[in-house]
Order: sequence, then C-alpha cells, then structure tokens
Amino acid sequence: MDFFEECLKNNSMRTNNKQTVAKILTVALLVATIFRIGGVANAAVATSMKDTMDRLKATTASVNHIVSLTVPSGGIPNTQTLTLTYPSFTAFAGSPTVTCGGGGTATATAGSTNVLTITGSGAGCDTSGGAVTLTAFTGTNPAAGTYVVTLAGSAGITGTFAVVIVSDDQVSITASIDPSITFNIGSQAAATACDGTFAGNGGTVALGTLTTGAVTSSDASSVFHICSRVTTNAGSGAVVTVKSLNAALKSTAVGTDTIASSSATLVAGTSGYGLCAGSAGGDSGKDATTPVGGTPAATSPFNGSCTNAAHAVGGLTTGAQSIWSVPTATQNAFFRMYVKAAISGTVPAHSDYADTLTFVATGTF
Amino acid sequence: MRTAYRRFVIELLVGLLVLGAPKFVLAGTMSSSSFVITSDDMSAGGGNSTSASFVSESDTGGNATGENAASASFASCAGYPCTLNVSQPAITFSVSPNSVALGTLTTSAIATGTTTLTTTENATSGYTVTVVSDGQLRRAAGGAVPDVTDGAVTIGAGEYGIGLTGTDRAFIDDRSVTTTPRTVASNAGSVTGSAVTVTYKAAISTTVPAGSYSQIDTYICTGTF
Repeated sequence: MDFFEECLKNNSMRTNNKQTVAKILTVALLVATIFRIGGVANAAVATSMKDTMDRLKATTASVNHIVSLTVPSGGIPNTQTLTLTYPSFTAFAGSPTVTCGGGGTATATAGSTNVLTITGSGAGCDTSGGAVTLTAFTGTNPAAGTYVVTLAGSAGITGTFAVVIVSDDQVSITASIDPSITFNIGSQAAATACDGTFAGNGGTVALGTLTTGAVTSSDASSVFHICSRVTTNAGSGAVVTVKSLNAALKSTAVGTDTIASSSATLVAGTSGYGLCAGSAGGDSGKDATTPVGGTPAATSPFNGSCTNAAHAVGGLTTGAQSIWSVPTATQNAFFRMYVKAAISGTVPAHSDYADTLTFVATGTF
Repeated sequence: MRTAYRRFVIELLVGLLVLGAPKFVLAGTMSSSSFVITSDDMSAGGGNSTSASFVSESDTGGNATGENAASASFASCAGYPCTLNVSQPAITFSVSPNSVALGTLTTSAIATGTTTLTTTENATSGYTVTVVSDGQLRRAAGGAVPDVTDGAVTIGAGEYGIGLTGTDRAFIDDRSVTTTPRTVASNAGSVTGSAVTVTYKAAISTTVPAGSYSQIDTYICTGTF
C-alpha cells in the first residue's frame, strides 16, 4: 500500500505513463482470457457413453465392442485425438469404423493392447457436437470386475464410463423328451370314416362269397376296410409293415387250395388277392400340429390306384413289408387300407378261405 | 519514481497471470487416474447434499450460494464455490444360476426354470440387459421346440420362450429368445440391486421329436454414462 500511495502522490508520473499502463493491462487481460478459454475446452465432457460388448465373461478373447458416445460442440477437430483407455483389457485388434453422427469424418485405430484412438480428419468429426460410434474392433476381457474407461486426447474431450465383466454371462438350458409311439390298427365298416380319431384294434374283414363276376373289395358290398393310425415323436418317423400268415387266402380244411397273393390290378374272373393303401382323397392324413408332423405316404407295391372300385393291390408275403410310413414325428397320421380278392372259375369251392395279416408300427428315434 | 513504476507494472502483470493461470490448469491438474481435488477454495460452514450416486457440496463462508438439488440419479449445486463431486462410474451385474434344467417335457404341462439378473449401476442414462441365444432349444440330431410367437406358452403346444418378473422387466408376455438380441431389462436411471427373474417355459406337442435338447443364452448388461 505504501507503494500505491507513493505512486498516486506523483501526478506527473501518472500523466506520463497512463497510456502505457493501459496497453500493458490490455495485453495482460488478453493473456488471461486466452488461458481461460483453453481451460474450458479441456473440460469438455462426453455424454451418453457406453460400450455394448457381445460377451461379458472374464478372459474371453475376441469380444466384439460397439462404442457410442456423444461429444460436445467442438467435436474432434482435424488431426486431434480422442482416446479411450480400457484398463486391464488386452489384445485390442481390428480396424474400427467411426461414424460421426453430427457430420464429418474421423479414423480410428485399436492399439495392440487396450487403447482406442479416434483422430479427426478433414473438417473434423462432430464439430457441432453429436454421436460418435465405433464398431468392428475386438479385445480380450480381463478378470471379473468393474472397469472404468477413460476418455482423453488432444481434442480436449474427457469422460469416464464403466463396463462390467462377470465370471459367467451365459445360461445353459437343457430339457429332454421321452420317446413315444401309439398305434391303432383294426377293421371298420365302410360307412365309418378312417381318420385321425380312429381308436380301434383288431377285427376281421369278411369278404363274403367270391365270384368270377366281380372283384370283391373293402368298402363295397359292406366289406370292412382296415384303418391304421400312428402318433409318434420319433425324429426319423415311423413305418407300418404288414405280414401275411399265408401269403394267400388259404382253405383251412384243404391247405393246398389257395388264392395266391401277388401285386397286380385285380380283374373279375382272374384269381388274385392283395392289399392296398387307399389313394383317394381322405384315405390318409394327419393332424395340423406344431411343429408340422410328417405326412403319411404309401409304400410300393401297395401304393397303386386303390379305391373300392380301383384294384391295384400289392402282393402279400409271409415276410414283413412296408405299406406306409411317415418321415418325421407325426400326430394322428392315418391310412385306410383295402383288402381285395378275385377268383377264376377254377378256384376250388370252400367256405373257409382265410388269411391273417399282422401289422407292426416301428419308430426310428 | 521510475523504479517504483517499474515495480508496479511487474507486480500488476504477475498478479494478472496468477489470476488467469488457475483457470487454465483447473481441468488439467484437478484430477488424475488416482485422485480428484474437488475444490480449490477454503471456506467455512455449509453441508453436502447426497444421493445414491452424487454428492453436492456447499458452504456458508464463501460468496452467496444457491439452492442445491439432488435425487437418486442426479444432483446439482449453485453458487460459489459449487463443486459437484460425482462418483466414479460403476456397474455390477450377475446372472445366477447359469444353468436351467427343464427336465422331461410333456404334452400335459409347461416345464419351467428360472435365472435371475441382478444389476447395480450409477449410469447417467441407466442400463439395458439383452439376451441372445445360440439357436433354438434344439437337439443335436435335428428338431427343435418352436419359439413362442403368440405371447403365451401353452400346454400341449410346441412352444418355448421366456417370461419376466421384476421392476425393470422389458415385457410382460412370453417371448422367444433368438439369435437377435432382445432387451429383457432396463432402467433409465441408476439402480441398486435391481433383480429381474427370467422364467424359461417349454411346452411340447406330440410332434416335437424325442431326445435331449439344449440352448445357450448370453446376457449382456450395458450402462450408458
């Protein structure tokens, strides 16, 4: 204060140096202002910072990162940098792609360890502020814990955000399904529909009196047909086979008198006997289920034209033969089957021609 | 006199530089990776306004201070000196258990199992948890329990999906888990121990093939700071 008082008392000096002091003060103030501006720029903090990784498990390698953050006005000027340091992460790799949501361009590099560097190019990146997104880089996660990523660099943008690494980020779900199969096979009257609701088992098909004037067939003249139904969760589906006791209609009393079975289209007046899977609409089908079940299909030689008036039959043998099948699991797959016979004038008369057909459904799981 | 004048000018310049310099070094030296200096003013009195994530400091000895505001997810302070001592960003997350055994699936019941996602974070804009699967609930030989598409896993139908419980759950119906990430939990603010339970549900029809089924789901928690 003594100094000031001394100066103020000297009017002459105040007059001579007033302008010079004012100039010096102006320069000094400008210097101080510049320093202030620099300080504000260095304090610019990014917002909305996050890193979406595709694995959070500790020590997992090649984890993909998608980083997004919003930079303030000023952005990342040309040649200036914004760095992101991931403590304890390792093996950063890849060629990160930078998107400047507010306009402009930048490049990025993933250091060989744990630092990402974004460098403004051209007119800079998001110079009016905006979102910056980085994709296409990978790294190796550290041990489980919380890690604070630090933003720095010559662009003056700062900030921190956290990512979490856990001991295990996955859930293993397991379940089992027991194998199952149901099968119904039996005879029923022509008037009764063979469909997915069929629940019969066994029975007989009485062909009645055979004549040379007609082919005797199921669903004609009150002759029963055979209905079959399969439900299974066998992944590779199921097959229905048929085996004949005699491979013929055979007289019980005179075993040498037979009406042999063979694959053919039966005609009146020609001896023959056989079985076929119905080929008319409605003769086969399945339920509409989720997932879609397998569709039943007839198997040769039982897959010819087969109705109560079409008589292409397959020859029955004493060995099992596939008559129809489904390729996958199925629900209430069904098939109507026709038994047919015809005779010539030389077939011995008997009242006891018979055969026994055995059907088996087999699933492949 | 001339000497005294020179002394005056020099002292003036030094004073101005001293006044300006702290503004320059404030951002560069007030913090580092290991410490934070929250105030450069020595004053008296006042107190702190606190929340789960923030501390707002005030005093009574400095120039007039304004009113402080604080909530669970933010804080602001007014006046001089006013320093907002923001906590370090933090986030924790867990998935437990890491295995869910649904047992033997039948056509007469819905098999269920749960896992719980627990999140704590102080992120400015909260968090999001997504789930992505490695495929359907399937068996190695082919065949899968179909993903639920109608909002509800139903007995006897071939359907598989997840339901959620918890304050931060992302949906209320049953939805599938696919190879496309699906958000299962989120909150726009900070949370402490937020738990969302994921219930896995499976129902089968008779046409779902028999066998052993599996799926691996990955949960990702991301905070936005």
